[in-house]
Amino acid sequence: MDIKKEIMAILRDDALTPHSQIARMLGITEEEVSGIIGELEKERIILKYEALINTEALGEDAPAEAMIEIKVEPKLDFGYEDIARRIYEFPEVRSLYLMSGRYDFSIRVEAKTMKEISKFVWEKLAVLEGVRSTETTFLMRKYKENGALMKKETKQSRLVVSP
Amino acid sequence: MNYEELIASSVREVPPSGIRKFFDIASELKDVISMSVGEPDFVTPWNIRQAAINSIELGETHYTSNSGTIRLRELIKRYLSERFAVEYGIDQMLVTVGASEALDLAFRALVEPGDEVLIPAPSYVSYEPSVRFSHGIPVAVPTREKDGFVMKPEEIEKLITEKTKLMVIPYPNNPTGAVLDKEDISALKDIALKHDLFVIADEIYAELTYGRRHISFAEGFEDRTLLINGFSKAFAMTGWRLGYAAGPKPVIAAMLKIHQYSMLCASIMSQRAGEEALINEMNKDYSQITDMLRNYNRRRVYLVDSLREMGYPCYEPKGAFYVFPNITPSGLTSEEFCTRLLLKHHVACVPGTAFGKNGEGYIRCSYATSLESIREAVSRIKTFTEELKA
Repeated sequence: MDIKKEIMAILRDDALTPHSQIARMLGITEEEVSGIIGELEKERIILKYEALINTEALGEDAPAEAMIEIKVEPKLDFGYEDIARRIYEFPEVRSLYLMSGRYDFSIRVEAKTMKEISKFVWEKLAVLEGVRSTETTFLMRKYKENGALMKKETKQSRLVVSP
Repeated sequence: MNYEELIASSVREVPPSGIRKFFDIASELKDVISMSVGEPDFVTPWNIRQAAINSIELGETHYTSNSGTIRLRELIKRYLSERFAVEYGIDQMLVTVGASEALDLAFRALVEPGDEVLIPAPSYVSYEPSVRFSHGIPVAVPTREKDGFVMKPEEIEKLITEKTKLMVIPYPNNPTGAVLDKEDISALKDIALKHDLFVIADEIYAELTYGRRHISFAEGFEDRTLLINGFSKAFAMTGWRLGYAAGPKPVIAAMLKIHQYSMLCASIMSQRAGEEALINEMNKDYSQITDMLRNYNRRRVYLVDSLREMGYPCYEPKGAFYVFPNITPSGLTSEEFCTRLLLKHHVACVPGTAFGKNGEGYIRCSYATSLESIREAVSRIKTFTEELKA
C-alpha cells in the first residue's frame, strides 16, 4: 500500500480526520502521519483544507456562479501562461482550466449576483488583451459537487437485525 | 393432526435463531440505531444496478445453465486467480443463490448421518443448523479472545474422532472479525492432511480485511477445499442473492445434482449484475472496493477506540465489519446487556451467545452503518455504561 496515496484518500474523504485516527487506520504512528502530511503540505500537494458548502441550501443567499468558456490568442514566448495569470488574478475566478476542444480556457466564476458576473465579463474579462471571445453559462442548480450530493438521499430501509 | 410429529425431528430439534428475538423487540421500537446488521449499508454500485436493468431490457428472462453462465464463471475463475492465487477451472464451479445456498448444498452433498463437522465457535449462525438439517453433528471448536479468535490445532486435535469428516473455516470471521495468518493456515492444513479432513472455507468477507490482503485457505490447497464466496459483502449485493462455490470436480458435481433439482439456477439478472461487478473492478484495479474498504476502516477504528475508552476490552478486528467487544466489565450477561441497551437506549446489538456458547461475555456490533449513526450509538452506549456504574 502506498501510504502517501492512502493518506491523501483519507483526507479527501474527510479533511478533519485526526492524525491519530489515520495512524490507527493505517497501522503506523501518529508522528509518521503528521510527518507525511507536513511534507505533502510543504510540497504543495495538499494545497488547503476547505469546507464544502451546500449552496443549494443557502436559498437566496447563495452566490451566483457561472462557467465561462474563453478563446484566447496565446503569445509567442509566453504561451498560455501569461494570459492565464491575468485571468486567475481576479478574485471572482474560482477555478481556471486550460481545455482541449473548441475553446482554450474554462473558468468558474462566483459573485453575489448574476449582474455582478455579467459586469465582470464585459468590464474585466472580455476586454483583456489576448481574449478573443467569451461564452458565459450560468449555473442554475447543483446536484453533486466534489463527489458530495446536495440533497440527502432517502436511505432504502434494511432489516434492523440480520445475521 | 399432530403437527409436532409432522415436523421432521432434524428441523424440530434446532432452536430458533437467537437473533430473531432481538429483531422482534427492535421492530417495535422507534429511532433504533441498528448495530446488529449483517449486510453493507452501501447500496449496490450504480454500474452494477445498470447492468441488471440492461439485462432485463434485453429480455434476458430465461433460465441459465445450472452451473451459472459461462461468462460469470470465467470471470470468477480470473478473479480468484488474480486476487487470491486460487486456481479452479470453470468446470469446478457452481453459481448459487447466495453463498448460503452453496453452504447448504455442501453439507447436503457431503454429510452422512452421524458425520461430525468441526466449526469454530463463535461463528456465523447458519453452520450448526445447516449441518443438523443434513443429519450431521456439529462440533464446536472453542476460540478465544486471547488467541485472536483463531482455531488452535491442539484444541481441534482433542475434538477429532473417527466420525470427523469436515472442517468449516470461516475467516474473516463473523462475528469476531478475526482473520487467519500464514502460520494459522499452514497449521490447519497440516491437521486436515493428517486426519484426512475436507475443508469448507467460507470466505464471503475476503475483500474486507484491514492492514493486509486476505489469504485464501484454498491457495495451493484446492483439492481439499471447497471455497465459498459471493457478491453480498464485497459488492454490497445482499439482496441479489448471488454466491458461488469452487472445489474439486466430484464435490461440485454432487452439489450440482442437488442444485439442479432444487434451485435450478441463480437468477439471470443477478448473474449479469455479478459479471459487471467483477469486470468493472478488474478493469479499475479494484478501486470501488478500495473506497468502500477505506470507509469501513474509518468506522472500525472509531468504534474499537470508543469501546475501549469506555472500558470494554476489545479484540482488534482485522476483517469483516464487526467489532466483538468483551462486555464482562459491565457485570451483565451478553443477553442482559443487549436487551437493556435496546429497550432503554434503542441501540440494537447482537449478544455473542447467538453465535454459539463461546460468545458469552461478548456482543457483536456491526459497523456496516453510517459513521453518523455509529457516533450516536457510541454516545448512547456511553450513557448506558455510566448508568451501570452509578
